[in-house]
Amino acid sequence: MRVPEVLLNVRDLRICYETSRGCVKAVEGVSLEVYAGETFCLVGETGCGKSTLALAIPRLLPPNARILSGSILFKGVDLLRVSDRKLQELRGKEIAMIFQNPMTSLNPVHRVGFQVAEVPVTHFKMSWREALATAVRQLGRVGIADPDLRSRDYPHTFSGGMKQRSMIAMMTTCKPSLLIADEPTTALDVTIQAQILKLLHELKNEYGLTLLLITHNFGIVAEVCDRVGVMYAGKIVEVADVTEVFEAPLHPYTKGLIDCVVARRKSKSRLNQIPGTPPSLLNPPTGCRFHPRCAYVTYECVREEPRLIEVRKNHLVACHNYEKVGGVSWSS
Amino acid sequence: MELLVVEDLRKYFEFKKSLFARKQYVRAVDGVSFSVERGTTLGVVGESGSGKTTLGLTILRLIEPTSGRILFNGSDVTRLSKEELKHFRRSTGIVFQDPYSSLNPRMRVKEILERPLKIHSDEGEESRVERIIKTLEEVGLSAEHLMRYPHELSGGQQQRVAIARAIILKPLLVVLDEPTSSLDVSVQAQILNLLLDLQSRHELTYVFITHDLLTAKHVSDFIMVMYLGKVVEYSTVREVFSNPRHPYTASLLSSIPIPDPKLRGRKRVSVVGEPPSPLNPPKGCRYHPRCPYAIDTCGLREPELLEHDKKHFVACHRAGELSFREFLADMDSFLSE
Repeated sequence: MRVPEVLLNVRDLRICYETSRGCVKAVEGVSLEVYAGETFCLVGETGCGKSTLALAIPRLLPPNARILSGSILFKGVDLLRVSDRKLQELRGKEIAMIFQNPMTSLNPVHRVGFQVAEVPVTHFKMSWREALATAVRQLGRVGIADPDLRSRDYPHTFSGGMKQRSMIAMMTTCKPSLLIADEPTTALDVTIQAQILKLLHELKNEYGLTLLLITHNFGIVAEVCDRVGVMYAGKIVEVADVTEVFEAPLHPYTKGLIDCVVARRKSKSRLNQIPGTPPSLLNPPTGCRFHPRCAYVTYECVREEPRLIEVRKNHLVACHNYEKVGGVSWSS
Repeated sequence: MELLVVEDLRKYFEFKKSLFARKQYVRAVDGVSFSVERGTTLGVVGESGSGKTTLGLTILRLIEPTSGRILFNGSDVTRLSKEELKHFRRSTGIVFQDPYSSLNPRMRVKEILERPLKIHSDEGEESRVERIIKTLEEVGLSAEHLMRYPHELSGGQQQRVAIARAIILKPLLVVLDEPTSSLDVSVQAQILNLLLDLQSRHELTYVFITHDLLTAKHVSDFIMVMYLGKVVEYSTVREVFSNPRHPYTASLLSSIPIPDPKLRGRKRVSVVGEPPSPLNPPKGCRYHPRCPYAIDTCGLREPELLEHDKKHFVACHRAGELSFREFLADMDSFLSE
């Protein structure tokens, strides 16, 4: 078997936000590999640090964020240490990003076609005339009807789905190697969500993109991903192939999340629930951060933090008691 | 026994593009009829702009309907006197999507829950607090939360307080408007379990409004699918999910991301484009510009909501001939019980 090429390699990344109440440790020692050509999903609940991790890759973190340690290697270049100028060349051309809310990611005072055309003008020194033609073509490609006409409109005349399509058009004109999509469909209706996911999948195959998708929805994970990383309270607790995650999760948190999804449950039956709520990152629990909510907790979990280790082929988990965690309850 | 009967309910919002422009109307709810039996749950599903939230507010008379009748326990809610309306308020409750913005940030939990008791009963302070603590315990909180402010609680706890407020007067009907949409997955399950427990304990009747079809399926007995202010399909949960007859329902069902990687390549009922503006809905069937099965009639005449099988109502000209069973066969383990 061919050894997959590592496109993105995050090593021991630690990021905190400085707030008036102290240091919020949003990402705590995360290591992660994304292979060229795959779709990698980061899943987790609100505040688990998945968006912070995504923003750190193109160095788009807000000013109060501090990177404490670690490296992010992209094609062998450490993005955390590269010059601003070099980084500017990579953004949009090699690494592109789509956000959750398409309403706020487009500039309201510029025409959509202009905003898309800016990308090739900046990166390929294309003439405006040529770039605008490229923009129209790309808008058509992502499914905007009458792209020639609509490219001359302002974003407020577009619906939510069309704005997200325009964002995708903008982000794919340069055929980047890595496309980071942070909850790209959360603000959209379910029929539009299905259309956008289909579009992303097509573009990925057409352009040979690597997709890093961030979501909280296990349905989306199952629909589009090749590999999954589950995050909890600033840490990655499990990494595995998508089928492994759904059929034989090893971390109690992953199992709990999949178990409490309503699908496959008899109507009106009680759902398995994870007790409690995610911890505050100002003052996370000792040892394993999941231990206060975990059904498999032992004394060791309180005392010592489990490391993320490969326990089966391509299946990493950070849990002292992973051997006791059975499959999800609906598959048995 | 039917607790709630709604007949031809309409709610039009007036709208002017500029001061001198002609009045236009957004027909948010446009001729909706249904009934809900006591102790059951009606799931109302639809995309944004389908009018489901307006419907929820109108049946509680939190906004005035433009026309139509709402029969609650036999009496017409639209014609109640002030005194009767107060009694009606007491027998109904509502829970909103965002718990934080639906709780007053300057009030403690005790004050929030005391409000309805002060207005509707003449109990003394002591028995009020007793009742508040009892209700808090019912929703999974305790006396220790009594003196907290909403911002000191997590999202799940806030929603529990909002639920406590809705049920503290022992209402008959509770409208739940996307009660779990803004919560995390692990907390969603807790709230759904709580709502089902409360329903069976107090024989509550729910109108559960959601855009999440899997959640609707989990909690409902009947499902009503709305599109641009109209009901397109209405039946039992089992019927709607195993044998949908309207192309829109079928496309909604096949758009749900299913948490099973093995079902990735399944057949789907496609849907073209996006919902049109409710300000200017298409002529004929409102779904026809997006419908892959549309014929000439669909653009000309609006289909009526007709009973096709027993208790299965569909508003589609082609409801008799279309079947979506083959598309949904793969998803069967998720959609049927």
